[in-house]
Amino acid sequence: MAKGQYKSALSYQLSALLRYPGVTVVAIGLALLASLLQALPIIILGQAIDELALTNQLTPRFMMLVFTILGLAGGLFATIFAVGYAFAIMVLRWERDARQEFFEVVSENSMTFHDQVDSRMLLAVSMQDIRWIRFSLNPALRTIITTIGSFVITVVFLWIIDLTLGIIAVIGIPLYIYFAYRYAVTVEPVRRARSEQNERLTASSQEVFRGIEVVRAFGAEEYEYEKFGKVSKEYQRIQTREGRLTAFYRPTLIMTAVTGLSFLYGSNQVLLGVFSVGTLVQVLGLLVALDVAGWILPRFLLEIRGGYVNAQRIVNILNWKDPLKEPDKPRLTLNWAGDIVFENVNFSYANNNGKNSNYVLKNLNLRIPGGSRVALIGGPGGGKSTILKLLLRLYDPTEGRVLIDGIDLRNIHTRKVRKAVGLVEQDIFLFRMSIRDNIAFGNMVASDEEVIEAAKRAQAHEFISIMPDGYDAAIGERGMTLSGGQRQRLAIARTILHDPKILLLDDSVSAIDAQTEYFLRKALDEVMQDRTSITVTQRLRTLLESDLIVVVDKGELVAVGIHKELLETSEHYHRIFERLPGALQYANGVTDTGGGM
Amino acid sequence: MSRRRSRFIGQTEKRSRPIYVLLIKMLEYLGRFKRIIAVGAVLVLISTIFQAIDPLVLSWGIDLVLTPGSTITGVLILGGIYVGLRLASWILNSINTWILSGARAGFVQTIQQDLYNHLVRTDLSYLKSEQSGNVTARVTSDIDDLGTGVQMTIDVSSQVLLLVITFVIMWLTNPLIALTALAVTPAVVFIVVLFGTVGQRIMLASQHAYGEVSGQIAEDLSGIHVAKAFNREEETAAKMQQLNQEAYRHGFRFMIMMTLMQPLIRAMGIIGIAALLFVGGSLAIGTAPVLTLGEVFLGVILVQRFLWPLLALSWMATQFQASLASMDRTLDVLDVKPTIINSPNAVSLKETSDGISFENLSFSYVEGTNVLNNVTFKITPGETVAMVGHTGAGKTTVAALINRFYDPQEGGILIGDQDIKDVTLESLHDTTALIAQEPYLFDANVLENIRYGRQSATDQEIVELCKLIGAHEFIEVLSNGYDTIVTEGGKNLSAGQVQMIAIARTMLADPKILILDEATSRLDAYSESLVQAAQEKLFAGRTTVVIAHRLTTIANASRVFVFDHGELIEKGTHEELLRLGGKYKALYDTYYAHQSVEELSEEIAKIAQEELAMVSGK
Repeated sequence: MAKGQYKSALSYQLSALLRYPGVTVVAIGLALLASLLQALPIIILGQAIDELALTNQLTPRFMMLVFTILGLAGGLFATIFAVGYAFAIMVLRWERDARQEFFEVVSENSMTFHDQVDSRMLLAVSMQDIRWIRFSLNPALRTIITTIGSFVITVVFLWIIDLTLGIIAVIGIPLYIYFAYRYAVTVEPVRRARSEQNERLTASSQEVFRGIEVVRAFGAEEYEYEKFGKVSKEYQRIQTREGRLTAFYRPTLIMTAVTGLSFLYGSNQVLLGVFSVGTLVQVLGLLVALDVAGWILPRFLLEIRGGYVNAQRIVNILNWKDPLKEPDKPRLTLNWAGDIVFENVNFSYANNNGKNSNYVLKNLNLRIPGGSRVALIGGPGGGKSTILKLLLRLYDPTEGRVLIDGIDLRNIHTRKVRKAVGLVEQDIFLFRMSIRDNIAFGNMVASDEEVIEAAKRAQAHEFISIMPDGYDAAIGERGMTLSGGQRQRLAIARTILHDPKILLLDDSVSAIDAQTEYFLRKALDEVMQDRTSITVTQRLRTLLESDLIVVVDKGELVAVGIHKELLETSEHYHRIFERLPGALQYANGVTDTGGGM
Repeated sequence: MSRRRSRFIGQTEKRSRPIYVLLIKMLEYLGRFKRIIAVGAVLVLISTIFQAIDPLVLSWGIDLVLTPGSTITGVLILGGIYVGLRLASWILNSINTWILSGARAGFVQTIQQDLYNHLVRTDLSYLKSEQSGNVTARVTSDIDDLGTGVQMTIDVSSQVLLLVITFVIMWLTNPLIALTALAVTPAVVFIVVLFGTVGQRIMLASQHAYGEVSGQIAEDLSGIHVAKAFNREEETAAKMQQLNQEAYRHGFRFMIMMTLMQPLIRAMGIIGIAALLFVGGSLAIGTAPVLTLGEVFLGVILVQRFLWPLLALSWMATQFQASLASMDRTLDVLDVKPTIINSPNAVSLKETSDGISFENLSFSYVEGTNVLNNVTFKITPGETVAMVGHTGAGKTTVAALINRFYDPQEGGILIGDQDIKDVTLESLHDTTALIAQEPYLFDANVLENIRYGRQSATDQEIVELCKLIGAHEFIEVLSNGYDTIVTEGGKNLSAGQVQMIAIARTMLADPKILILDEATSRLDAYSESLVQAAQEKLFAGRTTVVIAHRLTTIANASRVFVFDHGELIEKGTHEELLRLGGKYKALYDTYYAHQSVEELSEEIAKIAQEELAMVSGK
């Protein structure tokens, strides 16, 4: 399904039915037939009672009428079931495909989207909202069709029986439906407000229990009671309001009036000898049967309105306009070993209103020679990771260009960029699959031998081999069962197999022991071979060994050069070493003697 | 929520308390709402009686007009009664709804707040053993269920009453009619049983399949950046397709079951009409009819009324069970009494109390396995002590004990000369502050997160403070500066920013004693030098205990404490301990030496390996 296909929330909500117009028409027809089959027994009941009143015995005609009713029961069963079946197939297929479509569209959206939108919200939309839309069609819409059908058929029968009754019904029943609708319209926003408030309640309590140590440590219990109290009192207020709106439900009065009037009129007609007693039974029977229907109507109207709001929310997400566009005429070939150039690059992350004047990168100009080993360091939020993300083309610069071998990255398809540029990120994300599949994530056709070879080069083979299932060992929820150092080595193996031309490394790992560190350094040396690499690093050793060190701070380039130069020229750079015992002397020593200590 | 997690007819949940205990407790908790709910219940019952007898009026009407010589007056009177009954029933019902919705919401809010307050105060040992999602469910959905339970109790009584009155009316009209009406009940029983057995299986399978889809979406969304970096969007979509198809298959079976129910009930209703017509007809004919035609009509109407309440009852019973289970869980929570509370004669921690002493302290989380063993030390006011040791050596426990998150089994902790068990928790927490290894930020904006340290701080003060520690410039570059909302615990911030904000928060609280579980430094070299600088400002002049992961921290500490298997085995300055050549030297080589610029040799890696093997071997 193509993106942006839905112009309105209504067409989205109804798309399950619009997809199968033939089935829908037949199902609606059958639903109306069901309403008729539902009303007919009452009509026959009236005839049977007349038969009794006239003959005062169980005549064959009476028996035939009884059996007709029995037959109608069978017909009714079959019809309602057929309608339910048709609706079930339509809405469930739709639900399946709508969820798939939503997932695909959202996954295709660039990171700008994912930065702005809470992933928990997306999950809730893809599961609940879509289910509620399904619910708004089946059973809600289906039931409403049958119910309205019953109303219409009642009006028609009453009209046939007697003009006056017909007029009473024609005035009363539309009024009834109108008020029921009014009710749904009034209650719907309150109900939505309640469910939103409930989400707030859940979120605020979840948050506090997650951070309970912080609450305790700052002695903020009272503050939190009060905060929660506010949220829960508001919830109480909305809940009360919603409950009270359902009191004094006016349509019931209209129904009472219609039934009462029909009773008086009908009885009088019997007294006058115009109606038979059976006719009176028919009139009362039909109207009393509407009682149950009338009770269902407002509830399901509410569901339909609710489903519409859900549809609006989804359509808004589906129609999101991605600022990152694929090139119309993409360049197919490129020398990825060429120089990387940032040319007057400005960048700001779009915030929720889509506009943002806070630049994360400001007028960045930088040339990285192809094939070099670059160390990238800088203050928190200084723009390091943004530089990496621009190179992966997860975003395009707000202004300026990123060039590789003289070609603007905007002219290259994201798929091509991400094939040539590899990333080992800071928070290593591993999927709930086997170790083998995680390593082969960037190259699914890799053979077992290739996977093992990559793991060996990444110093990961050893610890994988001693695991109970080796390469088939499943990684737990977000790969929790592995240590930081192990995860990083798996990520390196993954990247070795992916074999990018340009390697981006966010190598600020957690504190690890010397042995792990030793293996990691070997793995890094391995993966950096024969490619341009840019490393955000914590390792002082890496700084010493780099071909180029880039220091950014507050989005600006503050220093570029090799270790020796920077130690003398850059105050920022100097600061890194000054706190470490002996590091400054050591680092200086390198400058002075050009060798070890 | 009306569209809450679906439950099923006949589905039961395990409870640890008998029903009557739960009911009594529930009544107790109704507290000040008891009277108002009783009023509501009475209204509902009266309205139910009216509702049950209104068809009777209609049948009298039919009989009346069939009686020769009747006049319109009688009809008018009956019509008036009918409308009157309906009106009265409507008014009573509405008043009841009005009252009850307020009472129910109030009741829910009251318990909710109680439970919440209780949980916030509950011992960490309890909260840690539960997932935050579970704890939250206690406060939200369980309490909501409880509210539903109160409503249900009233609804169930009204439905039972409706059934009973309807049956009595039918019996009084004619026992045969009543018995005929009973003929439809097996169908309802059949449905309930079918849905309770086969239906439940199908439903569980379906829920499971949907759970798989949901889990996969959650994982794929949080790993979306990886999928993008490796061009894996298509494959992920293909996998999703499979799971979706599976969920569809199960969902379809479930929906077909549900689809069967409605026509079954409706058809039964129609069969009821036929049956009653036949039986009623037989009784209404002949020379001495036992039944009037009006009564035949009454029977037909009443048999319809019989079906839905029966079905509703079985559904309500399920809901009711769920409420009892909620009550049970709520009681479980409330029964856990916090042990860490102010002692009866607790005093405030004195202004002058500073410095920390552990005296022969032993502590275990689980009986029999001491995490700390006879630990004694004294930290003088203003001193910075770094604690080192392997994972599980007891460092984090020391930090938690100083904050009195737990009480030791033996020995005690003094701040100055006051035992922390004898001072109020409030004053203790005002004096001490803890920065956890992964600082937790709330989903509020940056300013509010910092203000958490001291609620009374002005915006101005906070900005000044951030400037002082060098955090200002990193907050300013955020998309909305200080107003930037921290999302999902900080996914929109860098690790360095999170640490800076946590440091600012603690600085604002300005504690005399600081306990820091150092972040396992996920920063680049430059950011780390800045965070270190901020930390030094934070430490200045305060008594500080820091669980150290960074070389810089141990090097700058006034003393280092070495923990091993719950015991404090070495104390001294960095240089002293290195010269000693004991455990500290081994730890230093394993964890800290390579953080410097020196080349890491295979030899050191070997030493580290041996050291680690020793720990895991024990």
